[in-house]
Amino acid sequence: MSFDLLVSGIAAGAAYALVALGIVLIYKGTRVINFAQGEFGTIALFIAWTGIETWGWSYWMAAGFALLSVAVLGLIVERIVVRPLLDSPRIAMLVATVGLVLVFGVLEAQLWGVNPKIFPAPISGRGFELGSALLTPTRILTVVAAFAIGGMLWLLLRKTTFGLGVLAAAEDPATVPLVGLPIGHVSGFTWAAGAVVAGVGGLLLAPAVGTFQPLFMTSGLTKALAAALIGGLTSVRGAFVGGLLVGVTEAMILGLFPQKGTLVDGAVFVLILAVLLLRPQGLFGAPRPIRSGTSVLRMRRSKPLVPPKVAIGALAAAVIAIPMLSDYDVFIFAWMLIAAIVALSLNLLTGYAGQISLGHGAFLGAGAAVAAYLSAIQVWSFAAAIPVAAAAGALTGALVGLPALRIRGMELAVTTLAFAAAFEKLLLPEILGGRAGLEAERPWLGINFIGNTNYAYLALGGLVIIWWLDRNFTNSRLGRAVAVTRDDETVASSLGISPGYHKLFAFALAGGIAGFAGGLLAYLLQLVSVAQFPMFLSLTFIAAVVVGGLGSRAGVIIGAASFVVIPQLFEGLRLWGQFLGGALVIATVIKDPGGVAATARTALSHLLRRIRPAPVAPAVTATLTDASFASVPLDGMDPRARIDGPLLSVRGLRMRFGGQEVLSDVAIEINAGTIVGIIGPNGAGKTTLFDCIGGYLTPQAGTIFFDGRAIGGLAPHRRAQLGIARTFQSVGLARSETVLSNLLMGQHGRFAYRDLEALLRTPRVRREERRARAEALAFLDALGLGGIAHEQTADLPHGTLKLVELACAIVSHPRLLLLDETSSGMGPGEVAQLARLIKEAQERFGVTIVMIEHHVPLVLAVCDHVYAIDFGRQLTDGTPAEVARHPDVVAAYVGAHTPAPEPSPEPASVPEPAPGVAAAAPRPRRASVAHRR
Amino acid sequence: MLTAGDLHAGYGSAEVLHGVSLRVGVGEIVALLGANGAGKTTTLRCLAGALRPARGEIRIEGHVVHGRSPADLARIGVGYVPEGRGIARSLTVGENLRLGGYLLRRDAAAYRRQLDRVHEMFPVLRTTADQRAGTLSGGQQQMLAIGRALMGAPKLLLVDEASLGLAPIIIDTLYDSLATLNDAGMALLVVEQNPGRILPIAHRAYVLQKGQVVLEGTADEVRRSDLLLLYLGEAPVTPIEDTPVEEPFHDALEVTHRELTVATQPARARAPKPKAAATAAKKAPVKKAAETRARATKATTASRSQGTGAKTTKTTTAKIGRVTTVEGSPAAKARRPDRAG
Repeated sequence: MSFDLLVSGIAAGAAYALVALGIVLIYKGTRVINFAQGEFGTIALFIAWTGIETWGWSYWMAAGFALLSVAVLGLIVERIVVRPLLDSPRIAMLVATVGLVLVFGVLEAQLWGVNPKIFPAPISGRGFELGSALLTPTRILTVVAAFAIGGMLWLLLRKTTFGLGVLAAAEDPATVPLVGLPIGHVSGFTWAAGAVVAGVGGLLLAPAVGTFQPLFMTSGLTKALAAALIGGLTSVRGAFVGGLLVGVTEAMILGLFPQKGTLVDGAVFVLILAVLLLRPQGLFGAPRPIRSGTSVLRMRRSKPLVPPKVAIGALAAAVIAIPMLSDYDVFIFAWMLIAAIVALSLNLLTGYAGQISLGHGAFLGAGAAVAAYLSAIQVWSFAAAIPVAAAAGALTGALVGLPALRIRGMELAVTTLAFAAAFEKLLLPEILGGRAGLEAERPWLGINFIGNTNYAYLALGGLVIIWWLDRNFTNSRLGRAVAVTRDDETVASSLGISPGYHKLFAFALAGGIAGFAGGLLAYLLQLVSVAQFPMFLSLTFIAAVVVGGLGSRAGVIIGAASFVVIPQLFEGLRLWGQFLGGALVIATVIKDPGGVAATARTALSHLLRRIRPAPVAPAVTATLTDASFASVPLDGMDPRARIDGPLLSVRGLRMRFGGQEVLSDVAIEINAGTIVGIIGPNGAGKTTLFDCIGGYLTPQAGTIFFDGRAIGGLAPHRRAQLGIARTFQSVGLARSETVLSNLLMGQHGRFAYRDLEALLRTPRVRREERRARAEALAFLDALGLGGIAHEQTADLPHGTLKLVELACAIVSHPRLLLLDETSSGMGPGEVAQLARLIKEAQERFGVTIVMIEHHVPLVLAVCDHVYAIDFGRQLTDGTPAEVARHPDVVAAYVGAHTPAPEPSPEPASVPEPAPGVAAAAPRPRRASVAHRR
Repeated sequence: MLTAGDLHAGYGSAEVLHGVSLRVGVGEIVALLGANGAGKTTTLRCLAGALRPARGEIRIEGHVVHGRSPADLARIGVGYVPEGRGIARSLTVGENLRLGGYLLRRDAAAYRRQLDRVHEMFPVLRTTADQRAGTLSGGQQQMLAIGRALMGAPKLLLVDEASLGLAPIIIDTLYDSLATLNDAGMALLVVEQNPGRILPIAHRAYVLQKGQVVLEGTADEVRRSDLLLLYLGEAPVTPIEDTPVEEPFHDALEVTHRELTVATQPARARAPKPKAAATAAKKAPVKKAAETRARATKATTASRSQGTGAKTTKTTTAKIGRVTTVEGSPAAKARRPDRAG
């Protein structure tokens, strides 16, 4: 490889870095990946070109004017598109930027034409030679500009108060206005600055490439995205280094394989994978905290938009309508049905499992290509080829899903996009063997499926089957496991659910469904070629389902159908039809980020209210007064199945974070059937201890024995499966699911049916689901939470959630229950009830309980034994009263304001409210009569 | 300082507040109590501009402010410490404070002054200045959250559940700081679950239940109201014959942690409340609030006076001492005329 190639790689890398810097900046300010980022660069090019060519301006004047113009454009976009979506799930904004690409592309083509144009270099001249490399002025200037702009941004962000505001907004936009800095200033600045940086990139890249045309910068966008991602998405330094890495990799590939430019996309994908698998946060990104869900989506469980009766009606209408359509219309209709299957698959993966897939076109393409290959080359029958196509899709899905074990959110989304790019350029031509394409002959399955009409019936059948599978999936323990993994992976683990397995399962299932659709598509088209599966198809699909309404089956099908039908309707408009499509996408998500489904739902409820005015629903609150575990069914749980001696013993536990020792030589022993309290100041290492026991953190030293077995090497969900349940300081529930659904998730490990059975919903599945549901409802009723069974947990107050979380943990039938500050957020009366409930849980279910508590009276009331820790060290342990009186504990924890009391002459004088509390259950009802209305 | 009238607000179709009215006077600490889901946080969010009330009026220093953004409210002197703290965990402590001083970014001297005040109040924020905020312990993070809000030099500070998840000893320090802030003339509205914590330092209190104010009065009145426990935790009003142990247990939960050792005595061994002070308070309304606080914070006062070297002791003189402190505070004096407005 020549030195010149390396230099050109560095120069190209610097240009990628410039686009990536803009992406990072906008991501920081508004936490969205701006797909239209490249087009700010293209538009700057066109404006500067007009300045030079048409108006006869000097280069620098034209360039300055162009940059100023795109800054204004950035501000306008921010005001019109971004600002209304600031509080929406990120995916809505992401899709809006995809719409922007369409709009910008058409505007460019209309205003300046599609013919390639030449843009001059800022400084003419050949430059000078350095060894074999040619250092042209453009190359030098690109590197200098990237370096200078990167440095300026870094200084601005770190050294100015406003910059700190941008950084804080990247983390949580809600906190920024509290200091008096309107969030609009932050997002406006990042979009304007991001547009300018992209503009500089465009002006410097075009002379190096030679010519430019509409969507010029978007064609290289994956490389800039890859650069940003490798660097860590939020890091300015990272974008710079990532850009250089991608540029040099590209140059190396081109140097080694001059004939195979298509390898570049594959190499970029491999580079992303390699970096992210080693460092999920990217080269310069900050590592994620232990607990974090997918913040890009915010789902709400709601009733189906279309009731079953209406759905069956629509199906019947389709059956009747198909023969009435013209041959071409039937073809379009069948394509619509197949698109609907893809939409269901994408909804399952993105709407349900929360993994944003920007590469769904690749799954579809894999299925279509494999089906075509088998049909044309191997001469397989339709019936044999379709299942293999589905399998190919599933395999592709699982492959793309592998990185999901390490990364998530936007990072994963970009990875799927990079895969789609590599698939389009590398794998698809490989399978199809050249650009001409392969023929797939329609089948003869006893009936003639050669005509479009009969084939449309086949596609309709396929849609119905997938709908049924999808429904079975979401209504089983599989679907719930996927949902809780989406909301919070740590919580999933704590319920004995393996997040990795379920994410992969979702990817494989969605890939399989898309592959199936691809197979159907191959036989519909009858000729499969590379050009039919451009990378942009994937973005179109995600836009379609978001516009339709992620999470709603009817919604995504409507979305997919409109994306097939609308271009047909506006065919006469040519490019403007595309413009309209983009504008429609933006308008729909701005109207309601929930898409058409949400808009329809709102309209329906308004209509219903007009017909039958309902009183404003009061906020639901639960009271603990009537709560009791006494009436909860035991169902296979034997409270007497206890062991003697220690259930859990922890020895010599050491845990360091960086240079800080959080736990040093902690040893605790928990006897079966006891309630043990752990107290200590904030930062003493209490929760860290729980995290080590649960397997969420790996200690540097120490042994953990549970029921006589060393569990130190087990994954968190394995430990949960052994019977270690826990609750979290900040509530650990699936926030977007209902209370009932959460209780079913708690029972995950108790279902006996297999995953395949769940998809087919066998009688055993139905029987077990019924049992679980009945038990969950009985549990909720017993706790006085029956009224909120169908409420979404995110809407409920903190204290109530703590109780739901407790119920969730107990319904899993644990042997050891770790409670982390269950009383926080509860008032005095509620804490008294909680004390009773904890006692009751221990007695009725025979569960051993370890509780971290700051509420000393509660500890005194319920615990048999207490450990006090501070600075990761054990201060003391003993009976609650002894510990609470221990001088070290008083000094470090309880507070030294009141001098420690004289030691009691006899321990018996220490009150033991516990027996009394236990005797109080079940409570007489009249106690609560006074405050019920 | 702040008046809110007939606030109605909620999320989606569910209304959480059904006409909440409250007032925070200049230089007052007002407690907002209530059980889970009573609407405390929602009220505070409305007052801070983070949630737009469906109906009702909010005035700050006489100006109508509802519908204004949190940033606008911060500019007119409303500091807000949200539930969950709202600090930037990836920034350092120093950077968080600098961001907190955003409004003072053009006035280096005022910024410096404010930073010194915050450091003086929470020395730990000086020593941890270069540490990432996410690595701080819960108590330190809460101090940082308050410190950051103070950097904007607010006239009114809204604090949501300051004691959530904190060790008793940290809560003591934190509430001491709130009292100190108030001594310097700042008005505070503090949401709390635990009346034993906040009432000793508060002047007045509101109790919310199901989105309505069900009890209001001076901290002392509220503290002694028979209804308080009822509203806060659905606790029984009448003793239940078959569970005689229940009542003392409740009592143990009600009192502050540092009175724990006393409260856990089988018999009710807590010191009776000085009736005289209460009657005196009624006669002299201006002194009343300070009285209340002085009495209830005797433990706190003792420690604070040890720390600061003040001449107050844990006796009646302490009350007088504190009254004069409040009266004599230049900030409090300066603000007094505004009280009518």
